[in-house]
Amino acid sequence: MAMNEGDSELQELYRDVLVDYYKDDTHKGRLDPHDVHAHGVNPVCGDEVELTLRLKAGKVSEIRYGGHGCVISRASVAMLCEALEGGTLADARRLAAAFKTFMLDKGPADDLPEALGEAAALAGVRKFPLRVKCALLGWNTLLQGLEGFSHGGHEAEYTDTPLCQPEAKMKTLTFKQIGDAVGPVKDPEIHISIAELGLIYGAEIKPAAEGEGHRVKLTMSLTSPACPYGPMLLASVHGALAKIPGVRDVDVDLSFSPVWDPRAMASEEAKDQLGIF
Amino acid sequence: MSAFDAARARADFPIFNRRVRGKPLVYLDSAATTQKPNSVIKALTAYYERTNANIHRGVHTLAEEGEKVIEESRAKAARFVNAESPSNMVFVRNTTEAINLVAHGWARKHMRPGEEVLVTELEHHSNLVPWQLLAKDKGVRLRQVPVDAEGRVTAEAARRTITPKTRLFAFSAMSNALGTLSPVADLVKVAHDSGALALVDGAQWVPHMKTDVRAWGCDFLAFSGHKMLAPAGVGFLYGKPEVLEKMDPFLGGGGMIQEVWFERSTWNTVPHRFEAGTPSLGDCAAFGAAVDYLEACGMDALRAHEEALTLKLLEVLRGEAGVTVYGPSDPKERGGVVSFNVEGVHPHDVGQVFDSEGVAVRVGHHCCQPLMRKLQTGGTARASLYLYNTEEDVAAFARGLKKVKEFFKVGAKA
Repeated sequence: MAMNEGDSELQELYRDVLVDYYKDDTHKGRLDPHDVHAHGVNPVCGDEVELTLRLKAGKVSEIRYGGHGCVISRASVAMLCEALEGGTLADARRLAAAFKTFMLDKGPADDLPEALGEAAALAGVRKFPLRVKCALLGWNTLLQGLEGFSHGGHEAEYTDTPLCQPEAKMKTLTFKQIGDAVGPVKDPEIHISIAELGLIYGAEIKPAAEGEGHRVKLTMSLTSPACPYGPMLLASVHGALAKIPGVRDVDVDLSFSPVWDPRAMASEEAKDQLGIF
Repeated sequence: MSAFDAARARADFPIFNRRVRGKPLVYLDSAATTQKPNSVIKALTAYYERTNANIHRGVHTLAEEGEKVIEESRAKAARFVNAESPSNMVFVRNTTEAINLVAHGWARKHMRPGEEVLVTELEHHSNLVPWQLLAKDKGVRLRQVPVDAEGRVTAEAARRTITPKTRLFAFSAMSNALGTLSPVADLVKVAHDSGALALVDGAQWVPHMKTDVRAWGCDFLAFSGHKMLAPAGVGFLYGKPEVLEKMDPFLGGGGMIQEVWFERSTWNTVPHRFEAGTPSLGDCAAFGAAVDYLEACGMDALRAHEEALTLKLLEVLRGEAGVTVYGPSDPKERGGVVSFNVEGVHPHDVGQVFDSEGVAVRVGHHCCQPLMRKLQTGGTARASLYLYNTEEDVAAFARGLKKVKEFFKVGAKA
């Protein structure tokens, strides 16, 4: 059959290794008795996953999965089982976090922990937003199970929420994103970037007070406490931060402690422009 | 020759100018929602470009014109299903809202604890969950008529299940999941013989076949505009005049009242009593254009066209090893909906491969989880047809099916 646009995406989506995991029976089934049991459903497609874990000396000695689902969701949960076996529950949480970052934030495959190396084959799924849910179902179910277990529960239930937005909104926010956003803002008087001038004293990232998203608190100074352009500059900084995806609340605090000193704080380039040698 | 010219009709639908994954769009998901012809899209924009005003509330020219075009839609809907009069047609958002209106306005008022609502095993969640809510709230019992091996509901099975306590028999005229056609008039008779009212879920039937509520004798008919070329946001509940008269309002607010004092109100006449608040004006206006389009096609010609294509789809599926087809084997007993599974391949993955060929099919449980459990499957892939589908679409479907089997090596040993 001749290849076309749809075919190459399809090949990328259903990599052979995924179909192999889908067909592999190693971790299929159910453990009885078990220490952790988690059941998850995606109400949109009806897919189901059931995870049972046995623990020995704080480590996952055995893990099995049941339920039904597509190649993507089954292969992903089969990889989950393979990666978890022999590790601690803390390892399991780390693997889940790394996998979710890989799927939702499209992080590089090199960042995946070694135990999850094969998950790189799921990279093609990220082009199909509706299918990302399939890959995450097992992992979200696992996290729900671990959460319940940490509170003394042995049974957990996970129900997926329609569409990907809630997850997408909770993307991690990095200081680099904050730097990139305020970097281009210039001091209105001397036309040099406030970052180069060293006017930014610090930044904090916290969850927003209400709803999904992040709260960013930026502490900065002005070239002089009486700077007439102060309010205008603060507004530009505020605006630049508010535009970062996932940022819900922005605080810009002024600080004159310490007082801005270009000799100590500005970059070499800015000092050149300011005529400070 | 009354043969319907689908290729010509296709030219009326602008969406077919687009490509999907580099291929022409093959749309086999009309049971979910249909595509819209130019005339409907134009009617929708024309309403907002030329007429827009709130209705039943003003005396100015725009209000008068707006009311006229929307009331014309109501009259066309009445004519389309052969209702006694336009006042038997209540504007709602969709079939789901129509059924909920019956649950709230009729069942809550007239049903007593211990009495029964009867449905069938074929029902869409929208004709099941409203009754579950009612059952929980009012102590009413919910019971179901079983389907046979081919997914059919027979009058005999209904007669065996109905009891003197059954006050309402609510069933779909055509199954969205399997395509099964119900013997509607016979089922209505079973209800009436037992002293119950009959509600027909016409979401899948009304867009595809001649509908005659007076020949059926049903007390209610629910259907959606978006499955019959109209915009989403408009649908109808038909009710027999004497039944609607004895119903309470569902939503309270503007438009549904006659007189309001601080502590009480009197209700407007039927159907306005059930139409609180400003309706989806443009959608209601454009509904009329959809009826005009369907009437110009002719519902009998349309049915013949779909039946012929359904037969071809069934032939394609039956010719392939490892494929299970659900629903009646006789195309006369089904509408243009074909549900199937490919051995060892999850419906989601089937749908994805079809999509790579530009073919849109629905996958999943089709809002019929109890039925899927009965069929012992988590879900199916479903191809559904409408007037714009052609034999080329069936050929594309056949290519997609071959590709699914090749891609997932169905039949080959692992």
